[in-house]
Amino acid sequence: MNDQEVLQAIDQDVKSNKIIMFVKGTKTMPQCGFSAATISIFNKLGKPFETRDILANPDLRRLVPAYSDWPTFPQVFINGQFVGGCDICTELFEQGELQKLVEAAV
Amino acid sequence: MQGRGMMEPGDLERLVAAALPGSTVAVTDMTGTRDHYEVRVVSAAFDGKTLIERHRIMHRIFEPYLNGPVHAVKYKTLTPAESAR
Repeated sequence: MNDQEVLQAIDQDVKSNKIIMFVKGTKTMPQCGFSAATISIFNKLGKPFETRDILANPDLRRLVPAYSDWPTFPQVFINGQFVGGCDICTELFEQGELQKLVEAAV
Repeated sequence: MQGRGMMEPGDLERLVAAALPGSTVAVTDMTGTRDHYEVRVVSAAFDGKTLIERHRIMHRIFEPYLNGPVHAVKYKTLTPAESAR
């Protein structure tokens, strides 16, 4: 796939999954503390969510930041909207706002 | 400041003050190594903005220094009304 096709595939994936996050590693074997913390928050929320492993897919690692215009991972999208990474999800969760976003989406 | 080996908390505070006039800034050195910082900013520029929009504003300020003297910055972004709560 060329870059344009990868970006289209990312867009398709983001828009067809209510909650999706691009992380380092997998749900069961996260490879980074920030990815692990973010997955843990969404496990607590108890709604289905998809993860994509950017370590296993260099195209995603290179182009998701271009898609979202944000440089770091993890990256969480809810209802097609970029929400943020670990810091933002943690803060929104502590404020009770993440629960509202998820309830509204799923 | 760019190209110097290190950035002191005061350097970061001055960058934010210049970019967001009227804001209140407090920088904490998280590790004591002058390269992992928490930056707490209270600014009316955050009014009506989501967290990611606020963090984008902060990231634009520090981007030239990341991957250089600054390894990691954690943002705490509040509007004046939120900080008064």
